[in-house]
Amino acid sequence: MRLHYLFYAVFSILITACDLFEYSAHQITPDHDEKDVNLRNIDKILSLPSSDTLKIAFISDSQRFYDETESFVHHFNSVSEDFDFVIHGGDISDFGLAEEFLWINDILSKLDVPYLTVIGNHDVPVYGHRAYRKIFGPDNYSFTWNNHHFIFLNTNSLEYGFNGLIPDLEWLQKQISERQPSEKIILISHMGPESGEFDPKLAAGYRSILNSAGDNFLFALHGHSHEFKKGIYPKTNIPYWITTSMDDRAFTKIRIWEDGFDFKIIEF
Amino acid sequence: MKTISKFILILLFQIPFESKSQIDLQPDFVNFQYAGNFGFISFGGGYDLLKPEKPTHLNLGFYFGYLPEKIGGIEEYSLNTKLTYIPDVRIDINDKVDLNFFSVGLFINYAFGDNYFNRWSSHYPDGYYWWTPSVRFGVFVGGGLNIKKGNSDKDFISLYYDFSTHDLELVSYVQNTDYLSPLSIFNLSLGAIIYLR
Repeated sequence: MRLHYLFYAVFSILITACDLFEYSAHQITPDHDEKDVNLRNIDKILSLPSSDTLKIAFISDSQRFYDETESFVHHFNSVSEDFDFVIHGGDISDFGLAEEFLWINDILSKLDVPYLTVIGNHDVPVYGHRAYRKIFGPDNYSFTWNNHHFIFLNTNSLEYGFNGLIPDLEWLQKQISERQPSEKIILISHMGPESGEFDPKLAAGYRSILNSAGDNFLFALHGHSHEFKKGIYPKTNIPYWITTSMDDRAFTKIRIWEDGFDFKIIEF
Repeated sequence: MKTISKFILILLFQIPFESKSQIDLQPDFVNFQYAGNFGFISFGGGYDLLKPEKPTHLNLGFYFGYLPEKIGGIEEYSLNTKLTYIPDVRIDINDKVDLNFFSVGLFINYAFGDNYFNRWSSHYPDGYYWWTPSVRFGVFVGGGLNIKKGNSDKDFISLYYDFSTHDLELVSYVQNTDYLSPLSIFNLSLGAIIYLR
């Protein structure tokens, strides 16, 4: 009888020790506290005290750069009082495996402040899209904090075979048209409309939706290029900023105040 | 890499001397496995490329694997081929049971399901992704417990454990030896081989 219990005890330990066993490279088996990471972190951001100046650290492309991402966290935590939260510009993973998302979440959850991600092209293949949604939450999402509306948009059109639905312009249009007149808007997406992987049929529509917000639209943030770059979308007044990949050991410090903003490159 | 080159040496030097003289399609063993990238549960059969009645085995096993969505978050069927070298390095526990401390091998896992493709879609430029989603290559080390047949020396049932990893985990590891440890990429699997001869 006792042996019976022992058998069940050992068996249930084996079954629940998910990390010990791997059924498939593509399995999606996050623990309870590894689900909806973005949504949980938005809750944390919304409870932060409001301030005159918003301070954001913008990183991107951590794909297979775990050691560097860990160095970033060490550096960041030594200056974390200068920041409200961290944004990751996508390509969290290299192969779209849940295991990779969980490694990066393990590293970034040690940040002193909350972090948010946007989905990158490398995060989509095979079951990556499904793993992203389970671990981080919806691939298009937004929230308003301190009178600033942050829009996170999936623009990885090539991964969906240029099916005309990515980016979701209908959703984006709603995000812009439902704003209060005083709200400032910031958009984060892995790639911008100039990228060859952004659906060419949707690029003009994307730009004109953002343009329709006028001066309330502050800027767009991207990753993907593995370099720092700033510019203005063609035929618009919309500024964009691209931050580099983690292996460059650098990130962007963004400050936004009443009538301005700036970007500063910080190496670690 | 060291284990792989050792494995190739073993293959080169042992097969010519000990391989079976005739081709015989009846499998030498049936096998079962839990986890190890072959699905939740997998089963099949295979051949000992050496002589199955001898204690040194070079087992080529074929496994059909299934992973239910409830357990893995995705549903997956797979065909798996596994080559295991079990040298005759054993400790007798009693007349019927001995323990082999070491086994080593390679596997190929071919998974199929809704989201698997052998070729990336033609929308991608050539070489956009270098890896194939449906095929994983892996290596493992392990050991096992061997139960003998009757009063003979022949192995009848082997209960084995393996620690295995696959190509995508290996390339992640070699670039990140600070954050990742062998423990983060090697996973345990458990299995059984029943010898039919």
